[in-house]
Amino acid sequence: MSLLSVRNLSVAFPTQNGWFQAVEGIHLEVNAGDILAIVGESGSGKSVAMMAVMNLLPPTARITCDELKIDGQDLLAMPAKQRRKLNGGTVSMIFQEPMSSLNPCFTVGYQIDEAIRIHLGGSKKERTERVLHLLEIVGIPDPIRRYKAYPHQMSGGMSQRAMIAMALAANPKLLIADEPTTALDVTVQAQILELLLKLQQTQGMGLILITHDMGVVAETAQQVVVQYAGQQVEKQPVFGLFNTPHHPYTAALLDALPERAPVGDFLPTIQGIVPGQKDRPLGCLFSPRCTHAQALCREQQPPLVREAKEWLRCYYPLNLAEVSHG
Amino acid sequence: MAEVLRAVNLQQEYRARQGLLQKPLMVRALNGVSFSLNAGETLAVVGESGCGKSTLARSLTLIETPSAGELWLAGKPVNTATKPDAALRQRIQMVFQNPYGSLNPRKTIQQMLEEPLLLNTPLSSEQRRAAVADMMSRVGLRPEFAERYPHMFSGGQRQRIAIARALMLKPQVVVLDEPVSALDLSVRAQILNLLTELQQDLGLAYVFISHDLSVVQRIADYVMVMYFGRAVEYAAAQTIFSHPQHPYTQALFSATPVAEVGEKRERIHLQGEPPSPLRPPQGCPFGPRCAYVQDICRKEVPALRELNGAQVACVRAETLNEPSLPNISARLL
Repeated sequence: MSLLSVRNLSVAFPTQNGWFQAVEGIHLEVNAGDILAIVGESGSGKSVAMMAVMNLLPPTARITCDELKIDGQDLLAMPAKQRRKLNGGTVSMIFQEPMSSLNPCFTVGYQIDEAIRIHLGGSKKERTERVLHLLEIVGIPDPIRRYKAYPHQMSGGMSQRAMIAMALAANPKLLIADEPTTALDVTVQAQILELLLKLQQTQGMGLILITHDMGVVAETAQQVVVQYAGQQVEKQPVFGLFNTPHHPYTAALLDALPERAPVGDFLPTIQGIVPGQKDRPLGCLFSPRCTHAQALCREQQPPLVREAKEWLRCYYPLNLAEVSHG
Repeated sequence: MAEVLRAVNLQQEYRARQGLLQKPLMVRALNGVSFSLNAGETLAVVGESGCGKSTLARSLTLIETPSAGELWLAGKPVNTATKPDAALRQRIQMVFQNPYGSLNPRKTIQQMLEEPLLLNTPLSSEQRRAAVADMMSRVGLRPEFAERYPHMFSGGQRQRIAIARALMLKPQVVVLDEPVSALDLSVRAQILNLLTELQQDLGLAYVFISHDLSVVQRIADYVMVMYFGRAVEYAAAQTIFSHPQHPYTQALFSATPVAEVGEKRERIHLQGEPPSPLRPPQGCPFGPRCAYVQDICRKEVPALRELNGAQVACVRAETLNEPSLPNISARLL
């Protein structure tokens, strides 16, 4: 049984010019111990999809979904109040900006304690012990002093560690990390990623990592989903994705990375920009920018073909030579 | 090639208030930085937040006058004691990180690009209009868009506008403070190519401030690694990427994630975080986090010295084992 199972999730927001489709037909399957990375540029709907899973979107959002199950429990059939209890308990989330995710008016210890109080209960003494234990697990030196520290007294890296401690407070089975290291420096980023991977292994959690940094993906993920303009365009195990990307968007994105581009004065680029609400093309959403696009791509949207480990939304995939000849 | 920018022992101090009754503390955000830059070359300044790279940018562009040290622009000394004159300031311009914050939302592109000309040149309105149209097509924007407002453009286009604005007065040096880090991957390459093209056409010198080593490796001729307000290593890009010598440079390179799968490499684990400028550590500022630290490091702040074609501020650099190089530098060779 999978930890998280999402089938055909779509999210739209009302705007002055009608509905804006932020997420379109997303599927996800995460098991205990999996590390799934969701990669995409801004506006690709990666955060919105996860917010929908966590039920954190504003009530104006129109969310449709065929199946949404966490740990075998059907969230669609569940009353909101009960669903609320899963957040922070069975499934936890950490956000991009550690400084603004913590409440500046309360001590770090109090905020971690709150999560334990709500989900696990116990006496004040037991809870304080657990908070100190959590602070130690996430590598905050001098936990007793830090318990009483306010967020402004801590650095970005320390705040993110405190956020992770809070997310782990009730032993979640699934952790969603939304750009957990984007606001941090590289040496601190390395520490935090290391910590997340260590915790994921020791606790056997499922981990969903939302990021736009291909380097972070290559070094941490097992499975990778690539999103473009609200759609999933490709899913592959990490090795395949980086070495034999099938979707032209994935391939172009990897080629445009300065460290992967061939030596020379100029980098390969992807022409144009991500389509907005008004200029969504008729066919494949990437077709106006795609160098491999044919007439069919511009007329009709390719379906997302889901095979065992590889998903793809493209009529003319790349790097498939061996398969088509054999 | 002609030298267009030289800094000698540049310093910048700020007053930090401790409290109502306590004496204010002087914090030295920039502590003796020296370099020289020729036309058509790029110096990349690398380091983590708080290392002084943005302070350096503000001092170089004379947004803030440096508190001590010498600055030479286009062969002329900048008097750091008095307010620098406008003519000298025109020679060095700046592009900021966030194109959503650096453009005035209430001005059209025409007004924004025209303003430097209006203030500094005797050009007629027709000449100004022509200059704006010319610059817009140069940075890859359609001149018809001149009457539009910033909100009508995407992030990449806005950064093109910011670059155009910096170039309006034909500067010799452009200071780029993280010019692509707010942009999406697919747009980033377009802007980097534009910068390369402009440099080749106009012979611009760039001071490129960034924390993204893969970008730096791509476009820099020289690299300065900063830590705690000082340069800890300064060398030609090829030298530093193939043979990083300062322990901090090595750690920084090895911590940078690389978009390649398969090669698991040794990573240097840095403990802790950079020191607070209010409580500077004894001796080498990197000492508290350094794996190779010894008593000698705590005695005094190491100065930059020549070592294997680079300038390194570490007393023990020769004795350190070279770590297995991250493939980010291996790729360059």
